Amino acid sequence: MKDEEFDLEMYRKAWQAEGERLLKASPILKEEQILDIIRQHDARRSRVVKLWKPRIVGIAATVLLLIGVAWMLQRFGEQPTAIPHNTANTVGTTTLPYVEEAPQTSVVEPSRLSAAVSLPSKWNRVLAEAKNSNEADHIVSIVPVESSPVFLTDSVSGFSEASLPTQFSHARQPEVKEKDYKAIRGSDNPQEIGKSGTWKNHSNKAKQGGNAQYVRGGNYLKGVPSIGLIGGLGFSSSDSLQKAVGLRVVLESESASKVCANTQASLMLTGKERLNRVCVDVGYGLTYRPVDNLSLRINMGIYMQSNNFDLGGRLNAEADCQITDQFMLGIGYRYSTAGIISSDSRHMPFISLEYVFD
Amino acid sequence: MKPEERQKRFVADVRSCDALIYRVCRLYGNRHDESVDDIYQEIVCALWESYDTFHGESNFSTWAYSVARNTAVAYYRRHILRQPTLDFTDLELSFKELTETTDPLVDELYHLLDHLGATDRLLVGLYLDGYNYVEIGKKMHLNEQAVRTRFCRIKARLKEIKDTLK
Repeated sequence: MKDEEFDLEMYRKAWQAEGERLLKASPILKEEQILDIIRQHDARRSRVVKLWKPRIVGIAATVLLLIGVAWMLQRFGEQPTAIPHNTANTVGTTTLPYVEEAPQTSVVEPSRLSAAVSLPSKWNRVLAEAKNSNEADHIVSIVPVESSPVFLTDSVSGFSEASLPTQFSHARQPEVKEKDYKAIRGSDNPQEIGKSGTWKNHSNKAKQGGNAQYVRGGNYLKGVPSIGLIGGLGFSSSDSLQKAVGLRVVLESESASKVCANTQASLMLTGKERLNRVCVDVGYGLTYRPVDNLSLRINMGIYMQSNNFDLGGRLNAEADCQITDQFMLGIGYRYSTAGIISSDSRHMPFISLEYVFD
Repeated sequence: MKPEERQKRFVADVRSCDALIYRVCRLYGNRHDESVDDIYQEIVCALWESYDTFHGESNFSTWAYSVARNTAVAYYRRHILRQPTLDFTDLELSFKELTETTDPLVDELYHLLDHLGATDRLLVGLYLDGYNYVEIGKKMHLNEQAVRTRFCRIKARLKEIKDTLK
Protein backbone atom coordinates (compact mmCIF):
# COMPACT_ATOMS: atom_id res chain seq x y z
CA MET A 1 0.00 0.00 0.00
CA LYS A 2 2.87 2.30 0.95
CA ASP A 3 4.59 1.67 -2.42
CA GLU A 4 1.51 2.82 -4.28
CA GLU A 5 1.53 6.21 -2.58
CA PHE A 6 2.73 9.14 -4.62
CA ASP A 7 6.38 9.74 -3.74
CA LEU A 8 6.51 13.47 -3.26
CA GLU A 9 9.80 13.20 -1.41
CA MET A 10 11.51 12.06 -4.59
CA TYR A 11 10.30 15.16 -6.38
CA ARG A 12 11.41 17.31 -3.48
CA LYS A 13 14.98 16.06 -3.78
CA ALA A 14 14.96 16.68 -7.50
CA TRP A 15 13.47 20.13 -6.93
CA GLN A 16 16.15 21.11 -4.44
CA ALA A 17 18.94 19.78 -6.62
CA GLU A 18 17.53 21.83 -9.47
CA GLY A 19 17.59 24.84 -7.16
CA GLU A 20 21.27 24.37 -6.48
CA ARG A 21 21.93 24.17 -10.18
CA LEU A 22 19.90 27.27 -10.94
CA LEU A 23 21.91 29.25 -8.41
CA LYS A 24 24.98 28.71 -10.52
CA ALA A 25 23.19 29.22 -13.82
CA SER A 26 23.93 32.26 -15.94
CA PRO A 27 21.41 35.12 -15.90
CA ILE A 28 18.37 34.80 -18.10
CA LEU A 29 17.38 38.43 -18.32
CA LYS A 30 19.37 41.33 -19.64
CA GLU A 31 20.18 44.28 -17.43
CA GLU A 32 17.98 46.53 -19.48
CA GLN A 33 14.95 44.32 -18.92
CA ILE A 34 15.28 44.52 -15.15
CA LEU A 35 15.89 48.26 -15.34
CA ASP A 36 12.71 48.62 -17.40
CA ILE A 37 10.72 46.87 -14.68
CA ILE A 38 12.18 49.14 -12.01
CA ARG A 39 11.56 52.29 -14.04
CA GLN A 40 7.97 51.35 -14.72
CA HIS A 41 7.45 50.55 -11.09
CA ASP A 42 8.90 53.86 -9.92
CA ALA A 43 6.84 55.80 -12.44
CA ARG A 44 3.66 54.03 -11.36
CA ARG A 45 4.37 54.60 -7.70
CA SER A 46 5.00 58.30 -8.18
CA ARG A 47 1.73 58.53 -10.11
CA VAL A 48 -0.13 56.82 -7.29
CA VAL A 49 1.48 59.04 -4.66
CA LYS A 50 0.71 62.12 -6.71
CA LEU A 51 -2.88 61.04 -7.13
CA TRP A 52 -3.65 59.87 -3.62
CA LYS A 53 -1.51 62.04 -1.38
CA PRO A 54 -3.71 65.14 -1.73
CA ARG A 55 -6.81 62.99 -1.39
CA ILE A 56 -5.57 61.44 1.81
CA VAL A 57 -4.65 64.88 3.10
CA GLY A 58 -8.10 66.11 2.10
CA ILE A 59 -9.92 63.28 3.80
CA ALA A 60 -7.81 63.71 6.94
CA ALA A 61 -8.45 67.45 6.91
CA THR A 62 -12.19 66.84 6.50
CA VAL A 63 -12.21 64.47 9.45
CA LEU A 64 -10.32 67.04 11.53
CA LEU A 65 -12.79 69.70 10.44
CA LEU A 66 -15.72 67.59 11.53
CA ILE A 67 -14.07 66.91 14.86
CA GLY A 68 -13.41 70.63 15.21
CA VAL A 69 -17.01 71.49 14.36
CA ALA A 70 -18.28 68.94 16.85
CA TRP A 71 -15.97 70.33 19.48
CA MET A 72 -17.08 73.88 18.81
CA LEU A 73 -20.73 72.89 18.89
CA GLN A 74 -20.14 71.33 22.25
CA ARG A 75 -18.04 74.21 23.53
CA PHE A 76 -19.88 77.23 22.23
CA GLY A 77 -23.26 75.86 21.32
CA GLU A 78 -24.23 75.15 24.87
CA GLN A 79 -27.58 76.48 26.01
CA PRO A 80 -27.47 78.84 28.97
CA THR A 81 -29.85 76.78 31.03
CA ALA A 82 -28.14 73.52 30.29
CA ILE A 83 -26.72 71.80 33.30
CA PRO A 84 -23.88 69.36 32.72
CA HIS A 85 -24.86 65.76 32.20
CA ASN A 86 -24.00 63.51 35.03
CA THR A 87 -24.28 59.84 35.48
CA ALA A 88 -25.12 60.25 39.12
CA ASN A 89 -26.90 62.74 41.29
CA THR A 90 -25.81 63.06 44.84
CA VAL A 91 -28.32 63.75 47.57
CA GLY A 92 -26.70 63.60 50.93
CA THR A 93 -24.96 60.28 50.97
CA THR A 94 -27.33 58.55 48.55
CA THR A 95 -26.73 58.37 44.81
CA LEU A 96 -29.64 58.56 42.43
CA PRO A 97 -29.30 56.91 39.04
CA TYR A 98 -29.15 58.98 35.88
CA VAL A 99 -32.41 58.60 33.95
CA GLU A 100 -32.15 58.66 30.15
CA GLU A 101 -35.73 59.40 29.13
CA ALA A 102 -37.56 62.58 30.02
CA PRO A 103 -39.79 61.84 32.99
CA GLN A 104 -43.54 61.65 32.63
CA THR A 105 -44.99 64.45 34.64
CA SER A 106 -46.95 63.28 37.56
CA VAL A 107 -46.76 65.95 40.17
CA VAL A 108 -47.60 64.86 43.65
CA GLU A 109 -47.53 67.00 46.72
CA PRO A 110 -45.01 65.82 49.30
CA SER A 111 -47.59 65.48 52.04
CA ARG A 112 -49.60 63.01 49.93
CA LEU A 113 -46.59 61.28 48.53
CA SER A 114 -46.72 58.01 50.37
CA ALA A 115 -50.35 57.50 49.46
CA ALA A 116 -49.89 58.33 45.82
CA VAL A 117 -46.75 56.39 44.96
CA SER A 118 -45.62 53.09 46.30
CA LEU A 119 -41.97 53.71 46.99
CA PRO A 120 -39.39 51.02 47.53
CA SER A 121 -37.34 51.19 50.65
CA LYS A 122 -34.38 52.87 48.99
CA TRP A 123 -36.41 55.85 47.86
CA ASN A 124 -38.25 56.03 51.15
CA ARG A 125 -34.87 56.36 52.77
CA VAL A 126 -33.84 59.15 50.40
CA LEU A 127 -37.06 60.97 51.08
CA ALA A 128 -36.71 60.48 54.82
CA GLU A 129 -33.20 61.88 54.73
CA ALA A 130 -34.39 64.85 52.75
CA LYS A 131 -37.17 65.49 55.22
CA ASN A 132 -34.80 65.18 58.15
CA SER A 133 -32.52 67.78 56.69
CA ASN A 134 -35.43 70.20 56.16
CA GLU A 135 -35.14 69.89 52.42
CA ALA A 136 -38.50 68.33 51.87
CA ASP A 137 -40.09 71.75 51.57
CA HIS A 138 -38.28 72.26 48.31
CA ILE A 139 -39.37 69.01 46.78
CA VAL A 140 -42.27 69.86 44.53
CA SER A 141 -42.72 66.72 42.53
CA ILE A 142 -41.81 63.12 42.42
CA VAL A 143 -42.02 61.42 39.09
CA PRO A 144 -42.25 57.69 38.52
CA VAL A 145 -39.85 56.60 35.80
CA GLU A 146 -40.23 53.08 34.46
CA SER A 147 -37.83 50.81 36.31
CA SER A 148 -36.69 53.50 38.68
CA PRO A 149 -39.85 54.26 40.59
CA VAL A 150 -39.23 57.89 41.39
CA PHE A 151 -37.17 60.76 40.23
CA LEU A 152 -36.79 63.96 42.15
CA THR A 153 -37.49 66.59 39.55
CA ASP A 154 -36.96 69.81 41.37
CA SER A 155 -35.24 71.42 44.20
CA VAL A 156 -34.26 75.02 44.41
CA SER A 157 -31.43 74.87 46.83
CA GLY A 158 -31.55 71.54 48.51
CA PHE A 159 -29.44 69.60 46.06
CA SER A 160 -26.13 70.05 44.45
CA GLU A 161 -27.19 71.86 41.31
CA ALA A 162 -24.11 71.15 39.25
CA SER A 163 -24.64 67.45 39.61
CA LEU A 164 -28.29 67.36 38.64
CA PRO A 165 -29.10 65.55 35.42
CA THR A 166 -30.23 67.47 32.37
CA GLN A 167 -33.89 66.61 32.50
CA PHE A 168 -34.00 68.37 35.80
CA SER A 169 -33.75 71.63 33.90
CA HIS A 170 -36.00 70.42 31.09
CA ALA A 171 -38.73 69.50 33.49
CA ARG A 172 -38.47 72.79 35.29
CA GLN A 173 -37.67 75.16 32.48
CA PRO A 174 -41.14 76.46 31.55
CA GLU A 175 -41.99 77.39 35.10
CA VAL A 176 -38.81 79.10 36.22
CA LYS A 177 -38.47 82.86 35.93
CA GLU A 178 -35.42 85.08 35.69
CA LYS A 179 -35.11 85.59 39.40
CA ASP A 180 -34.93 81.87 39.89
CA TYR A 181 -31.75 81.76 37.88
CA LYS A 182 -30.25 84.22 40.24
CA ALA A 183 -31.34 82.06 43.12
CA ILE A 184 -29.95 78.95 41.50
CA ARG A 185 -26.77 80.39 40.11
CA GLY A 186 -26.11 82.70 43.01
CA SER A 187 -25.59 85.64 40.70
CA ASP A 188 -27.09 87.41 37.73
CA ASN A 189 -23.70 88.47 36.50
CA PRO A 190 -22.94 86.60 33.31
CA GLN A 191 -19.23 86.56 34.02
CA GLU A 192 -19.90 84.69 37.18
CA ILE A 193 -22.44 82.39 35.66
CA GLY A 194 -19.81 81.19 33.25
CA LYS A 195 -19.50 80.21 29.66
CA SER A 196 -22.88 78.64 29.35
CA GLY A 197 -24.60 82.00 29.78
CA THR A 198 -25.54 83.61 26.50
CA TRP A 199 -25.83 87.36 26.32
CA LYS A 200 -27.23 89.38 23.52
CA ASN A 201 -24.76 92.00 22.55
CA HIS A 202 -24.34 92.36 18.84
CA SER A 203 -22.07 95.11 17.62
CA ASN A 204 -25.01 97.43 16.88
CA LYS A 205 -26.32 96.94 20.37
CA ALA A 206 -22.88 97.54 21.74
CA LYS A 207 -22.74 100.85 19.92
CA GLN A 208 -25.96 101.84 21.61
CA GLY A 209 -24.32 101.53 24.95
CA GLY A 210 -23.73 97.86 25.33
CA ASN A 211 -27.14 97.11 26.75
CA ALA A 212 -26.33 93.56 27.51
CA GLN A 213 -29.43 91.55 28.03
CA TYR A 214 -29.45 88.04 29.28
CA VAL A 215 -31.20 85.80 26.81
CA ARG A 216 -32.77 82.89 28.50
CA GLY A 217 -33.15 79.88 26.30
CA GLY A 218 -30.61 81.26 23.82
CA ASN A 219 -29.23 78.91 21.26
CA TYR A 220 -26.15 78.74 19.12
CA LEU A 221 -28.36 78.77 16.08
CA LYS A 222 -30.17 81.85 17.33
CA GLY A 223 -28.44 85.09 16.51
CA VAL A 224 -27.91 87.86 14.05
CA PRO A 225 -28.31 86.80 10.44
CA SER A 226 -26.67 88.42 7.48
CA ILE A 227 -26.74 87.72 3.80
CA GLY A 228 -24.10 88.71 1.35
CA LEU A 229 -22.35 88.39 -1.95
CA ILE A 230 -19.03 86.69 -2.17
CA GLY A 231 -16.61 86.53 -5.03
CA GLY A 232 -13.06 85.54 -5.60
CA LEU A 233 -10.38 84.04 -7.78
CA GLY A 234 -9.25 80.54 -7.04
CA PHE A 235 -6.03 78.85 -7.99
CA SER A 236 -4.47 75.46 -7.49
CA SER A 237 -1.33 73.66 -8.51
CA SER A 238 -2.96 71.49 -11.16
CA ASP A 239 -5.49 73.88 -12.59
CA SER A 240 -5.44 77.36 -13.92
CA LEU A 241 -7.17 80.33 -12.39
CA GLN A 242 -10.85 79.90 -11.62
CA LYS A 243 -13.52 82.46 -11.00
CA ALA A 244 -16.02 82.08 -8.21
CA VAL A 245 -19.05 84.10 -7.29
CA GLY A 246 -21.87 83.31 -4.92
CA LEU A 247 -24.29 84.05 -2.18
CA ARG A 248 -23.64 83.54 1.47
CA VAL A 249 -25.71 83.45 4.63
CA VAL A 250 -24.04 83.98 7.98
CA LEU A 251 -25.57 83.61 11.40
CA GLU A 252 -23.67 84.96 14.34
CA SER A 253 -24.74 83.90 17.78
CA GLU A 254 -25.62 86.38 20.47
CA SER A 255 -22.81 86.88 22.85
CA ALA A 256 -21.63 89.43 25.38
CA SER A 257 -18.03 88.51 24.96
CA LYS A 258 -15.81 89.50 22.07
CA VAL A 259 -15.98 85.95 20.79
CA CYS A 260 -19.12 84.35 19.42
CA ALA A 261 -19.98 81.46 17.18
CA ASN A 262 -20.84 81.83 13.52
CA THR A 263 -22.58 79.48 11.13
CA GLN A 264 -22.10 79.92 7.39
CA ALA A 265 -23.69 78.46 4.32
CA SER A 266 -22.81 79.52 0.82
CA LEU A 267 -23.75 78.73 -2.72
CA MET A 268 -21.14 79.54 -5.32
CA LEU A 269 -20.72 79.18 -9.01
CA THR A 270 -17.21 78.41 -10.12
CA GLY A 271 -15.47 77.74 -13.39
CA LYS A 272 -12.46 78.44 -15.47
CA GLU A 273 -14.11 80.17 -18.39
CA ARG A 274 -17.80 79.83 -17.68
CA LEU A 275 -19.29 79.57 -14.20
CA ASN A 276 -20.56 76.06 -14.81
CA ARG A 277 -19.95 74.35 -11.49
CA VAL A 278 -22.09 74.67 -8.42
CA CYS A 279 -20.40 74.54 -5.06
CA VAL A 280 -22.32 74.42 -1.82
CA ASP A 281 -20.70 74.60 1.56
CA VAL A 282 -21.71 74.78 5.18
CA GLY A 283 -19.55 75.42 8.19
CA TYR A 284 -19.27 76.50 11.73
CA GLY A 285 -16.71 78.81 13.29
CA LEU A 286 -15.80 81.65 15.57
CA THR A 287 -16.04 85.41 15.28
CA TYR A 288 -13.75 87.68 17.22
CA ARG A 289 -14.53 91.39 17.59
CA PRO A 290 -11.49 93.27 18.76
CA VAL A 291 -13.34 96.58 18.21
CA ASP A 292 -16.97 97.39 17.49
CA ASN A 293 -16.74 97.72 13.73
CA LEU A 294 -14.39 94.91 12.97
CA SER A 295 -15.08 91.20 12.92
CA LEU A 296 -12.49 88.53 12.41
CA ARG A 297 -14.04 85.26 11.41
CA ILE A 298 -12.74 81.79 11.03
CA ASN A 299 -15.05 79.11 9.74
CA MET A 300 -14.54 75.44 8.98
CA GLY A 301 -16.90 73.28 7.03
CA ILE A 302 -17.47 70.90 4.20
CA TYR A 303 -18.13 71.63 0.55
CA MET A 304 -19.88 69.76 -2.17
CA GLN A 305 -19.25 70.43 -5.83
CA SER A 306 -21.45 69.52 -8.73
CA ASN A 307 -18.91 67.83 -10.99
CA ASN A 308 -19.07 64.15 -10.13
CA PHE A 309 -20.38 65.07 -6.69
CA ASP A 310 -17.10 66.03 -5.14
CA LEU A 311 -16.90 66.40 -1.41
CA GLY A 312 -14.19 67.96 0.72
CA GLY A 313 -13.38 70.26 3.57
CA ARG A 314 -12.92 74.01 3.52
CA LEU A 315 -11.57 76.71 5.76
CA ASN A 316 -12.47 80.40 5.61
CA ALA A 317 -10.58 83.13 7.37
CA GLU A 318 -11.75 86.68 6.89
CA ALA A 319 -11.89 90.19 8.26
CA ASP A 320 -15.14 92.17 7.97
CA CYS A 321 -15.58 95.84 8.55
CA GLN A 322 -18.94 97.41 9.33
CA ILE A 323 -19.14 100.23 6.81
CA THR A 324 -22.70 101.32 7.68
CA ASP A 325 -25.23 100.16 10.25
CA GLN A 326 -26.42 97.43 7.94
CA PHE A 327 -23.52 96.63 5.62
CA MET A 328 -20.27 94.86 6.16
CA LEU A 329 -17.40 94.66 3.72
CA GLY A 330 -14.87 91.91 4.06
CA ILE A 331 -11.84 90.30 2.60
CA GLY A 332 -10.85 86.75 3.24
CA TYR A 333 -9.07 83.64 2.22
CA ARG A 334 -10.68 80.34 1.49
CA TYR A 335 -8.83 77.06 1.40
CA SER A 336 -10.62 73.97 0.17
CA THR A 337 -8.99 70.62 0.63
CA ALA A 338 -8.73 68.00 -2.07
CA GLY A 339 -12.06 66.36 -2.52
CA ILE A 340 -13.02 62.76 -2.92
CA ILE A 341 -12.93 63.06 -6.70
CA SER A 342 -10.60 65.94 -7.36
CA SER A 343 -7.03 65.44 -6.33
CA ASP A 344 -6.03 69.05 -5.87
CA SER A 345 -6.72 71.57 -3.20
CA ARG A 346 -7.69 75.13 -3.98
CA HIS A 347 -6.78 78.51 -2.59
CA MET A 348 -9.10 81.45 -3.08
CA PRO A 349 -8.79 84.97 -1.82
CA PHE A 350 -12.24 86.59 -1.83
CA ILE A 351 -14.16 89.74 -1.05
CA SER A 352 -17.63 89.88 0.45
CA LEU A 353 -20.40 92.37 0.98
CA GLU A 354 -23.00 91.55 3.62
CA TYR A 355 -26.32 92.95 4.65
CA VAL A 356 -26.95 92.50 8.37
CA PHE A 357 -30.49 91.93 9.60
CA ASP A 358 -30.58 93.31 13.10
CA MET B 1 24.90 55.02 -1.92
CA LYS B 2 24.01 57.02 -5.02
CA PRO B 3 20.73 56.07 -6.76
CA GLU B 4 22.52 55.02 -9.95
CA GLU B 5 24.97 52.91 -8.02
CA ARG B 6 22.17 51.34 -5.99
CA GLN B 7 20.26 50.54 -9.18
CA LYS B 8 23.30 48.99 -10.80
CA ARG B 9 24.01 46.85 -7.77
CA PHE B 10 20.42 45.73 -7.57
CA VAL B 11 20.35 44.68 -11.21
CA ALA B 12 23.52 42.65 -10.72
CA ASP B 13 22.09 40.98 -7.63
CA VAL B 14 18.82 40.09 -9.35
CA ARG B 15 20.61 38.71 -12.38
CA SER B 16 22.67 36.50 -10.12
CA CYS B 17 19.57 34.58 -9.07
CA ASP B 18 16.96 35.27 -11.72
CA ALA B 19 16.76 31.61 -12.68
CA LEU B 20 15.78 30.81 -9.11
CA ILE B 21 13.19 33.57 -9.12
CA TYR B 22 11.88 32.27 -12.38
CA ARG B 23 11.38 28.87 -10.79
CA VAL B 24 9.10 30.42 -8.17
CA CYS B 25 7.18 32.15 -10.93
CA ARG B 26 6.91 28.93 -12.84
CA LEU B 27 5.66 27.11 -9.76
CA TYR B 28 2.94 29.58 -8.91
CA GLY B 29 2.13 30.93 -12.31
CA ASN B 30 0.52 29.31 -15.27
CA ARG B 31 2.89 28.60 -18.11
CA HIS B 32 0.02 28.77 -20.57
CA ASP B 33 -0.65 32.45 -19.97
CA GLU B 34 1.38 35.51 -19.03
CA SER B 35 1.09 35.03 -15.31
CA VAL B 36 4.70 33.84 -15.07
CA ASP B 37 5.91 37.14 -16.53
CA ASP B 38 3.53 39.09 -14.31
CA ILE B 39 4.72 37.33 -11.18
CA TYR B 40 8.33 37.89 -12.16
CA GLN B 41 7.73 41.60 -12.58
CA GLU B 42 5.94 41.79 -9.26
CA ILE B 43 8.79 39.99 -7.57
CA VAL B 44 11.38 42.35 -9.04
CA CYS B 45 9.29 45.32 -7.87
CA ALA B 46 8.96 43.85 -4.38
CA LEU B 47 12.69 43.24 -4.23
CA TRP B 48 13.40 46.77 -5.44
CA GLU B 49 11.05 48.31 -2.87
CA SER B 50 12.59 46.43 0.02
CA TYR B 51 16.16 46.43 -1.24
CA ASP B 52 17.18 48.89 1.48
CA THR B 53 16.15 46.38 4.13
CA PHE B 54 18.63 43.84 2.81
CA HIS B 55 21.77 44.27 4.86
CA GLY B 56 23.76 41.35 3.54
CA GLU B 57 23.25 39.21 6.63
CA SER B 58 22.33 36.31 4.34
CA ASN B 59 22.98 35.54 0.71
CA PHE B 60 21.03 37.74 -1.64
CA SER B 61 19.63 34.64 -3.32
CA THR B 62 18.24 33.32 0.00
CA TRP B 63 16.61 36.66 0.79
CA ALA B 64 15.37 37.08 -2.77
CA TYR B 65 13.91 33.59 -2.83
CA SER B 66 11.99 34.27 0.36
CA VAL B 67 10.64 37.58 -0.99
CA ALA B 68 9.85 35.89 -4.30
CA ARG B 69 7.85 33.12 -2.67
CA ASN B 70 5.86 35.55 -0.52
CA THR B 71 5.16 37.78 -3.51
CA ALA B 72 4.13 34.83 -5.63
CA VAL B 73 1.80 33.56 -2.90
CA ALA B 74 0.29 37.04 -2.57
CA TYR B 75 -0.13 37.20 -6.35
CA TYR B 76 -1.84 33.86 -6.33
CA ARG B 77 -4.23 34.90 -3.61
CA ARG B 78 -5.10 38.08 -5.51
CA HIS B 79 -5.58 36.01 -8.61
CA ILE B 80 -8.03 33.80 -6.74
CA LEU B 81 -9.94 36.87 -5.58
CA ARG B 82 -9.96 38.12 -9.20
CA GLN B 83 -8.34 41.39 -8.30
CA PRO B 84 -6.47 43.22 -11.05
CA THR B 85 -2.74 42.78 -11.09
CA LEU B 86 -0.11 45.35 -11.98
CA ASP B 87 -0.53 46.86 -15.35
CA PHE B 88 2.85 46.63 -17.03
CA THR B 89 3.49 47.12 -20.63
CA ASP B 90 4.85 44.13 -22.48
CA LEU B 91 8.47 43.86 -21.43
CA GLU B 92 9.29 40.88 -23.63
CA LEU B 93 10.91 38.80 -20.94
CA SER B 94 13.11 35.97 -22.17
CA PHE B 95 11.54 33.17 -20.17
CA LYS B 96 10.28 31.39 -23.25
CA GLU B 97 13.86 30.26 -23.78
CA LEU B 98 13.70 28.46 -20.46
CA THR B 99 10.71 26.23 -21.05
CA GLU B 100 12.38 22.97 -20.14
CA THR B 101 14.61 22.08 -17.21
CA THR B 102 17.53 19.68 -17.23
CA ASP B 103 15.91 17.30 -14.75
CA PRO B 104 13.00 15.30 -16.24
CA LEU B 105 11.56 14.77 -12.75
CA VAL B 106 11.21 18.52 -12.25
CA ASP B 107 9.62 18.84 -15.66
CA GLU B 108 7.15 16.15 -14.77
CA LEU B 109 6.47 17.88 -11.46
CA TYR B 110 5.60 21.12 -13.24
CA HIS B 111 3.16 19.25 -15.48
CA LEU B 112 1.54 17.58 -12.50
CA LEU B 113 1.27 20.83 -10.52
CA ASP B 114 -0.46 22.51 -13.45
CA HIS B 115 -3.47 20.32 -12.67
CA LEU B 116 -3.67 21.26 -9.00
CA GLY B 117 -5.81 23.96 -7.49
CA ALA B 118 -4.39 27.17 -6.05
CA THR B 119 -4.18 26.23 -2.38
CA ASP B 120 -2.83 22.76 -3.11
CA ARG B 121 -0.14 24.21 -5.30
CA LEU B 122 0.87 26.59 -2.51
CA LEU B 123 1.11 23.70 -0.06
CA VAL B 124 3.22 21.61 -2.41
CA GLY B 125 5.42 24.61 -3.19
CA LEU B 126 6.19 25.09 0.50
CA TYR B 127 6.86 21.37 0.90
CA LEU B 128 9.28 21.38 -2.03
CA ASP B 129 11.11 24.31 -0.50
CA GLY B 130 11.88 22.17 2.52
CA TYR B 131 9.20 23.11 5.03
CA ASN B 132 7.69 20.40 7.21
CA TYR B 133 3.98 20.02 7.97
CA VAL B 134 4.13 22.05 11.17
CA GLU B 135 5.88 24.98 9.45
CA ILE B 136 3.51 24.81 6.49
CA GLY B 137 0.58 24.84 8.93
CA LYS B 138 1.91 27.99 10.56
CA LYS B 139 2.34 29.72 7.22
CA MET B 140 -1.07 28.69 5.93
CA HIS B 141 -2.91 29.16 9.24
CA LEU B 142 -3.83 25.49 9.42
CA ASN B 143 -3.17 22.97 12.15
CA GLU B 144 -0.77 20.13 11.54
CA GLN B 145 -3.47 17.51 11.23
CA ALA B 146 -5.28 19.53 8.60
CA VAL B 147 -2.05 19.88 6.63
CA ARG B 148 -1.46 16.13 6.82
CA THR B 149 -4.97 15.45 5.61
CA ARG B 150 -4.54 17.92 2.74
CA PHE B 151 -1.27 16.30 1.70
CA CYS B 152 -2.89 12.88 1.74
CA ARG B 153 -5.49 14.10 -0.70
CA ILE B 154 -2.91 16.00 -2.78
CA LYS B 155 -0.78 12.89 -3.15
CA ALA B 156 -3.80 10.85 -4.17
CA ARG B 157 -4.73 13.48 -6.70
CA LEU B 158 -1.16 13.70 -8.07
CA LYS B 159 -1.07 9.95 -8.43
CA GLU B 160 -4.33 10.02 -10.29
CA ILE B 161 -3.05 12.76 -12.60
CA LYS B 162 0.19 10.92 -13.18
CA ASP B 163 -1.68 7.72 -14.09
CA THR B 164 -3.92 9.64 -16.44
CA LEU B 165 -0.97 11.32 -18.15
CA LYS B 166 0.69 7.95 -18.68
